[in-house]
Amino acid sequence: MQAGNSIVLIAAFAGILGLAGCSRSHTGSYPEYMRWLGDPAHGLVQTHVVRGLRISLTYLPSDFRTYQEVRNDGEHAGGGAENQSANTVAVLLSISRDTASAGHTTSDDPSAIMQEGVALNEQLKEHLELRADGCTYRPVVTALDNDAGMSGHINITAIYVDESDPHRLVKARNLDVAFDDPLFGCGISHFQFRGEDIDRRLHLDI
Amino acid sequence: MSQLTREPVGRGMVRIALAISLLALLACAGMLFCGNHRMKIGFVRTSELVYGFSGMKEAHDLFEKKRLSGQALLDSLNGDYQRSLSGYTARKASLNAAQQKEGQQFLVKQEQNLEAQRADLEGRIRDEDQRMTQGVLSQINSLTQEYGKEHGYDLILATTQSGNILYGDEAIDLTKELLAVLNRRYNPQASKGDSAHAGR
Repeated sequence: MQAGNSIVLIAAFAGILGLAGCSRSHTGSYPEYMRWLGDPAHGLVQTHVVRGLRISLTYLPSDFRTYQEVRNDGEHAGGGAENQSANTVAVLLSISRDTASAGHTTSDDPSAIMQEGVALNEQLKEHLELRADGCTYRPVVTALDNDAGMSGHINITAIYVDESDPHRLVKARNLDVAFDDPLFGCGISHFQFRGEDIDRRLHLDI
Repeated sequence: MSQLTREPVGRGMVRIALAISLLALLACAGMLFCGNHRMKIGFVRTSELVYGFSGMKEAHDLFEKKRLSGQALLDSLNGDYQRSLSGYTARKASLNAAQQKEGQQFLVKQEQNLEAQRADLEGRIRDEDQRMTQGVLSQINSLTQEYGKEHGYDLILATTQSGNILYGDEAIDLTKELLAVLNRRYNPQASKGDSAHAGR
């Protein structure tokens, strides 16, 4: 009888753990979602420091983009935004000075980096290549974030689509984004995202 | 009163003596520490590191692709010019003076355009070469700095053909180890593939 009780207790504990696990893969809180996404331990953001610059690339999941589109266009965007995001892959390239690094940077003036952001955005289609399952993609759209202001960050979102088969790119297991820096002399940086990290991501309830 | 004043002076002396002893102790500890702290030094063979670095190979391939694409455009323009020239030469006898002048002007313009394109391409290739080499060296420098910090190196020297390191013991030659680390960090997926191939 005591053994039976123990089994029931273990099963209940396992059930609670399972439920806790399930509840952790969804959140309705945007700040919590952003904290999760920005944690390098989850594998969806990677950073390289070269020549005194921090170059980060964040994989932007489709629910993040749907949230952004709904927020920008209002609730009417709803289903359309979801479908559009689901068939594309998006990344956020972020460049800033590395304050901990004594290395050389192109300029000591933070606003100068922002000025180069415009030039970088114009050239990015040729310099941010996505490789997935033997195919190579270039961004169809790049957008410079104007909110960076005095923070001295360049934030550019790049969107990729497989025009012949939209599902092929979305289903690709391992993504390798190569940034061939055209402006700051930082060379080619690789940012790699694993399929299992993308699958395990936290989902944002919209 | 005199006793009262003497006592603090005595205490002061003791304090000074204690402070001097403490300073001496600290100085001895410092000397001992400095004496025992051996600088960790390593060296790398620069050309092997640079040419073995995956980033260099990738940059070189990309550069070659761009150079060949530019060269193909030049070849095409040169082909156009050569065809115009041989066409003009073949027809020259049947053309009147005005037509000949017009044909020659056209050829001169075409040749000038070809030369301008060639000069432009050479300039772009030179800039691209410089940009890519700079990028590769920046990456190697940054990754080596990271490696040095992580492994507690005080100094990592680099040998060059015209450099001033004439000899280094093999035990402190970091070239192979550093190259493996650099390539792993540069492109983890590709280096996994390489090690899988190497294992076969």
